[in-house]
Amino acid sequence: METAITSVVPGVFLPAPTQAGSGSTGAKALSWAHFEPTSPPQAGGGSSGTKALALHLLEPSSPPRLSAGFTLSKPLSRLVQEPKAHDVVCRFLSELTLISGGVSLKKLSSRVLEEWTTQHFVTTFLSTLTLTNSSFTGTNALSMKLFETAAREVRNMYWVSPNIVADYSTSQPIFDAIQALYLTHNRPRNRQIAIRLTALYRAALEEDETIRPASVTQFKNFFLANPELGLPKITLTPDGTLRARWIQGIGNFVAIEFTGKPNAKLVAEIPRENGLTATHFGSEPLKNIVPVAQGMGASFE
Amino acid sequence: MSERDPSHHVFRHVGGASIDGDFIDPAAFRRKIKDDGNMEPGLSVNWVEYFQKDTPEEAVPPLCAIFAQKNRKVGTTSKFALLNVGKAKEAAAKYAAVSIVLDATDDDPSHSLVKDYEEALNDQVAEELQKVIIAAYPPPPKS
Repeated sequence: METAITSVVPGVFLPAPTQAGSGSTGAKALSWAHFEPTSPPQAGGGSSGTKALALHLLEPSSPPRLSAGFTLSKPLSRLVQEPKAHDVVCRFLSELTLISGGVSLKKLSSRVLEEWTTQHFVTTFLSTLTLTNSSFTGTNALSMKLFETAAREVRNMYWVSPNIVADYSTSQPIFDAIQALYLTHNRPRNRQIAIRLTALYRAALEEDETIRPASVTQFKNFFLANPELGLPKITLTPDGTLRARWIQGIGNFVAIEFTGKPNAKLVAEIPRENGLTATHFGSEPLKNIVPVAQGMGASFE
Repeated sequence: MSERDPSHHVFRHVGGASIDGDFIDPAAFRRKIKDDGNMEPGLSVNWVEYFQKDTPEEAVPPLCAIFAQKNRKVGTTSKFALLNVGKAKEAAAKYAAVSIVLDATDDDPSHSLVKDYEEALNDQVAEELQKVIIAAYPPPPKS
């Protein structure tokens, strides 16, 4: 079915569009001083705390303005100072997972803001939680999300187009990985990986792509066990596995694909003398993969 | 199935999860394993010149309309990677002499395939195809 083409001029094309970076923004220090001290939350069971938090996130009412130019709802700041914040976030995340999977719990499912996704909540809440650590250095991106949450207009919406449906078995390992990476000791790389995972998960849900839970868990464990490695490009393969690629330049990279099995895929191109490039396609036991790749001359910076 | 002219171009739709900043993962150019365990017969692409537009970018909206009719989701962060047919074949030739042929269907008349390479070379060919991406265009905003 060859079609005659008359209007196309081969080779005359627009330049590639400028694309934004991967979300790495300049650091902006935030401290406790930005949060107005408040009394501890009233006593109550864990579940009520979770519900209260969720409702505060969903219904920020008339947030006060802070001297630093930020906006934060008082109830939210009060909740993040709660000593058991970690417990609350765990429960909160698990509830979100169930809700996004279509299982109604408590009042949350009947009141969902337009354009909100599970990932919004995860990102926002985790960034909120991180702010409670005295050593935290937040990013502009995170703080913007946080304060956008508080300032967002309250609208009573019903669940009319749940076109993003998370599979519980997939979402739980993702949330676990994001949480684990966020909660490591103020390591910027891990936080950036968590942000990237959040975006990746959102994109995967949008296009009905599957993420293998075993791959996610393996990915998380690998990065927690190898804090010295640099921040890679992180992507999802058509097979549902996560892949990390450290790119030094053209013909100079190393990539690990987390298969969820003991052996991971290793791809590398490493420059050699006289302009030659060594190419490697193979699989290696994950526990040995870094030294093996480094032995070939690969860099994980 | 007729081979595409080497001067022509194809789009490969790349999901947002396969894109990190300005990096498009070569894995997006892999043939997928189907539910029956077999690999796709070829890598699905779309023949750009079919749309008879002045620029490839202008071919993206009608292609998205076709995808919508096929109930294929096009995420807001996805991109349409543009490759020249001749350059793609030349790049893949490092591992295999691939063909890029029209595989038109009633609901997708520009559908084409990159084929004629062994399953074992799937990763290798994908790596080479990624290297010759000319540009990547986002889908039009949803109205």
